[in-house]
Amino acid sequence: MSMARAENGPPHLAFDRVEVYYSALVAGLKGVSLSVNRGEFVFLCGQTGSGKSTLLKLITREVRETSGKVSLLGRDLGELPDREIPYLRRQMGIVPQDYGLLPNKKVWENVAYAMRAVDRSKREVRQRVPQILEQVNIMHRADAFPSELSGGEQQRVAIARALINDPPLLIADEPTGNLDPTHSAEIMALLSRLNEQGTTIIVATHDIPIVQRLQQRVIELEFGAIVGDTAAGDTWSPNISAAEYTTFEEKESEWATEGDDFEIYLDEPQPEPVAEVSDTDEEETPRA
Amino acid sequence: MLDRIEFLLSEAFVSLGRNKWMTFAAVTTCAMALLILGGLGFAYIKIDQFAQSLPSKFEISVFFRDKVPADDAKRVVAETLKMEGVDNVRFLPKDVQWEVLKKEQPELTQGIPNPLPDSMRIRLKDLAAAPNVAKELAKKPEIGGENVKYLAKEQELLTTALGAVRLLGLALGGLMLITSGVLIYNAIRLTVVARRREHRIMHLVGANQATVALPLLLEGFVQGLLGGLIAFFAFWGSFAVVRALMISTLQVGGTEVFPITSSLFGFVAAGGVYGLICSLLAVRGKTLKGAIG
Repeated sequence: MSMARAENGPPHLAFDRVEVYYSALVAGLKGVSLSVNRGEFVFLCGQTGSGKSTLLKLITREVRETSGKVSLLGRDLGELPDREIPYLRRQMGIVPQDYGLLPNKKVWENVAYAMRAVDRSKREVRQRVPQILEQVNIMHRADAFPSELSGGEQQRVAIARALINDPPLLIADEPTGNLDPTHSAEIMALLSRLNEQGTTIIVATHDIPIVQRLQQRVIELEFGAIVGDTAAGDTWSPNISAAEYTTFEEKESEWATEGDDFEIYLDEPQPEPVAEVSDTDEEETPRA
Repeated sequence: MLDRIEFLLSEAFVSLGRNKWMTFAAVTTCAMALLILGGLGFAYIKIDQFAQSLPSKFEISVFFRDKVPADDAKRVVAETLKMEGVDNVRFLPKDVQWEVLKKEQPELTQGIPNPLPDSMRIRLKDLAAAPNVAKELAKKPEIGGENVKYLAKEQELLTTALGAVRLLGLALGGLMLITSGVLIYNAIRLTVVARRREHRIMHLVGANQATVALPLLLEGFVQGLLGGLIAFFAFWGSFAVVRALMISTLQVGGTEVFPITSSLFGFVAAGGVYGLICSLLAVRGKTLKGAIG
């Protein structure tokens, strides 16, 4: 498995003591500081409610930090006026967990529609769409509707759409969440390839086997705080209870018994109420 | 640029096509509202013009009591001129009137003393002011209530007719306008719901607010515009029918010309602007805020 090509220089993304409170008692993030270099491949791991989504939403400016600072290529995202959010999002590719494909449009139309929405001309669309579809190896299904595609193929289309702006940063939320091991591996190979071409990749996931296999940097979150930051190349094992993640064996065994009905394979634990988490718990050492 | 316009237009017309029945309801209700407002507004203007063209019939004649000094009479004339709704006042001294009458009817006036009182004729700017002017004048000691003469009943009838048309237009038209506004608003909100996937994709890939909002605004504008166009043709048709009826039954109205350009522009512009306002109200919140989750 290839290693990330993290580049030197100013970080692509920086979080400085970032806190997000949705209300007085509900915290999304609590004092998160981290830095992601250009060209790095980072996994965000943690159970549901750990703060992965909040962290991603801060990057896409869906939420604003309560305190602290989030910077993208040195620019403070908290200071970004609302009207500039669309242009911020053109600097990143976003792959949502549910793919977000338009069911009444073919594969190429899904990508073309997104390009038209960001003011690309029809000529550009005609030139670029086949290239992008080739890039994610889905050109052979260009005329298929999303309902005719496998989960892995749909995910490829979602990634293709995320690439329309040639983004230097790609954010994927649970990209293998609904996929079997073969398709998961294919998607991860695709993301690794994009990373090798210089794209910074941030992937939020529950999928321990995939994370362990790729040996990229892993940031582990729990109750809105970073509880582990494992460098690329180091062997990672979950800092929090491994039972709260899904293991490869569990997935296999569920597929074996439930056939195709494997959409929800995570036995997600309910998050503890934020108010009950003590400071000492939070400060328990990030594992390097 | 052309590509962008084409994309925005196609987005707007896709929505119009998808919400066929809602669009139909919004367009027809908007047309009805504009027709009622425009039609009754036109009727009001016509009746008002008719009333304005007949001021002499509604002159108030005022006769001074006997032996009112000329200075007092002139003062009353000056005071009357200042009254609200009064256009002009013509003072007719009894001697002048007598001279005129003697010339016109020499046999009738021969050998008798002048029986005429001083008088004045008041022309009004606003017929509705007549009762008040008459009341004020009747209070004056130089005049007295029985010496103020005007066509009170006819004036009252005309004022009531104008008031009724105005009230009917405002009430019915207003009601229909609100209904059509709600329908256009709902049509746009339905579009927002129906196209939430597309909007999410737009926000995901960094489409700006204008790209998301313009097709929705365009949709409301087109609905209003179509409503205005239908209202114009319905109004034109109604005008032709009413004119034909008036010519055949009352032998009047034959010279009336339908104001095609101004009414077409009026209806279409009013419909378009109204549709735009309703869709502006409907396009807000999450639609533009860029939620992608």
